[in-house]
Amino acid sequence: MKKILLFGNPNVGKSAIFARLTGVRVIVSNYPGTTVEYLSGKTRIGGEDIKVIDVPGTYSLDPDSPAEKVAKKFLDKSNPKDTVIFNVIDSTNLERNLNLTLQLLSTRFPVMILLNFWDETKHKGITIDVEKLSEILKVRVIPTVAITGYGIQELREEFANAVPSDFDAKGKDTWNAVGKIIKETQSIKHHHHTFLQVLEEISTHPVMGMVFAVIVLFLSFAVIRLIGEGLIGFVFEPAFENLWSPVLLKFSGVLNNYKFLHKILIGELINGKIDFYQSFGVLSTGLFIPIVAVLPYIISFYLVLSILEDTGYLPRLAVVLDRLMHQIGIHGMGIVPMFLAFGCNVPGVLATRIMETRRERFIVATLMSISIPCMAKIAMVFGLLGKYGIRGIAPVFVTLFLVLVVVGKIMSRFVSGESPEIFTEIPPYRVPYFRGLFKKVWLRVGWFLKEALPFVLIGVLIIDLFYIFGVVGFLSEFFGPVLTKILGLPAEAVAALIVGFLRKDVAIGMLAPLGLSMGQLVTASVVLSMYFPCAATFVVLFKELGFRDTLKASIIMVVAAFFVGWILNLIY
Amino acid sequence: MVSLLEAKKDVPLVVKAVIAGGGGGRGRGRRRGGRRSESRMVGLNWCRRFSNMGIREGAVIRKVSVQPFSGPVIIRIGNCEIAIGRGMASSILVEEVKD
Repeated sequence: MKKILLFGNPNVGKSAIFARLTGVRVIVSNYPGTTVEYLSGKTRIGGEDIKVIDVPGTYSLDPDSPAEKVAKKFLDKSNPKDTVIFNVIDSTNLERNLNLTLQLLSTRFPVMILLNFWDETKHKGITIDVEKLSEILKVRVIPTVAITGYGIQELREEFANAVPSDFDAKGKDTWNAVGKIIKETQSIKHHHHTFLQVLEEISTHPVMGMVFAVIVLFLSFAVIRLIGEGLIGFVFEPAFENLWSPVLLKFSGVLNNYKFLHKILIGELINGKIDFYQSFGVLSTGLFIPIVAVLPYIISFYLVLSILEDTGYLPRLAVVLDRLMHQIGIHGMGIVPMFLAFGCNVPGVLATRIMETRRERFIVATLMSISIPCMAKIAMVFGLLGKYGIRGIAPVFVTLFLVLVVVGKIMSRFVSGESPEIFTEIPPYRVPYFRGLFKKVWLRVGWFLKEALPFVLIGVLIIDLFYIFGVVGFLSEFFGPVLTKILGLPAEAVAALIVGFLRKDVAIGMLAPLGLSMGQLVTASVVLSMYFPCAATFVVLFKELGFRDTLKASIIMVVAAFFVGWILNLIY
Repeated sequence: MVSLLEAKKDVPLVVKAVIAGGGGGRGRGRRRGGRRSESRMVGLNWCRRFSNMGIREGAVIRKVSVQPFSGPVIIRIGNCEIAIGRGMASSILVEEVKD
């Protein structure tokens, strides 16, 4: 099969082009390094299936980072006879982008050049002579706007005409060659600062930048909570109580003679009614946790995250927080994987690849697994401790934040290796394209439902089976004393710790029927957050860090969790 | 000629030299504690990364902002803003463009 390799600098819109060509839905954001691993899909051009590969962004063909190594490998593996390189270029940054272009041309692969963000050149007073550029480089040059689909049709039509260029910059200084090309093809008019550019200046201003960051973060969390609680209170909970509850009650009547099935599917009736927090059947609590308690927060979080990603604020936040982040041994870009981890630790761990060294990746991955609660955990903590108000919720998050700082400080001292300084491109602010934004939120929510829902149901099932077959009783007798002495929790909480290996939201949900005091709930929530990553996170940790580092990270987690839990127990 | 750290803000500056840093130059393949020094390979090998982004002798750049408490420096080259650490900034030697 013929194939297309999408090459280009980071953050030029390769993934958006990829999505346009293949219809495969992928995450597209406005910061360098969104795609850390290649994506592969298929498109049909002229009745022929063609493989499309979205290569991670690279500034040159010298592999300088893990993502760039992946890019280089693709070129080495491919055959110029059946491969066409689509070199995606940010038209507003022609000069810098052409460096890679010239390197690509000299590989003798057939190349087509895509001048992406073509619409932005107009706002920025940039004029590019496309014909001339094509003439000089001796390849087809096509202006595109990936998010609207402009130019994609032309791309398909011209695909068959892609040829290797005989433009040769080898032996000469590439940048000089680029300079000459720029002089002949590009002119820039001065233009007034737009509103977005004023915002850009404010958000990295030495003083205002900090204020701006605080406002953005505060607003983000406020909006997440507002939308999350709104969806729960006005949509999901009423729907469950009024529509699902009566169905379940009827079903419960049918199952009356089958105690075993009743216990598993419906759970315990509380005062003859279904209590979605306490009944703990697969169809009651099992569905309630992911769909009513967690899903609304997943939706609201990803909406806010996607806006932050698509506008281009995240790299600016990285710059503003760089100094603070160095206190815990990583540079500012570490904020990006950490931010993603609030949604789910799995994409968070994957995103650690934007960090350059092993030490940084280890620190970020460990810190997020130990002290960044994913939305599922956060939603459950809100659900359980919400009735105590700020007095109940704040201690959990303040404790986790302190853990982040202390463990980070310790790791930055003792983990060997180096932490380089920040070095990142800062993209311009862009107004999110709303269709793309909603698609992205929907994509991520879909992942949650697909990945999380089955695990939650299985988790609830396991707990029910444990109770029915007396496993919990046995384990409580065995581990109970430890739990009671160190953490001040009832012996039965051991079941939550075990299910926590699978899903943390179910584990926290299990605390509801135990009748714990506020202090015990706080302690249990913190310990459950910290002591071990959930199964899905553990698997990616293992893949990304390898056996030894995952083992180290796990030991840190267990020790820190029980230590912190013990302290909390002393306080409450 | 001054380092980018001491240079004036918001004026065109021409890059005169980029000093190879990181102590001991290119450390590719050098062993330390049994493991190849990784940041030499990827992080501190920023001399080449600079040049890949167009920051090279003769390039005209601007210092856009300097974050407080020895935070990063933001520079603009062409239409592109790049954030770099202070160590890196201090190794870029520049001169004001006079016309």
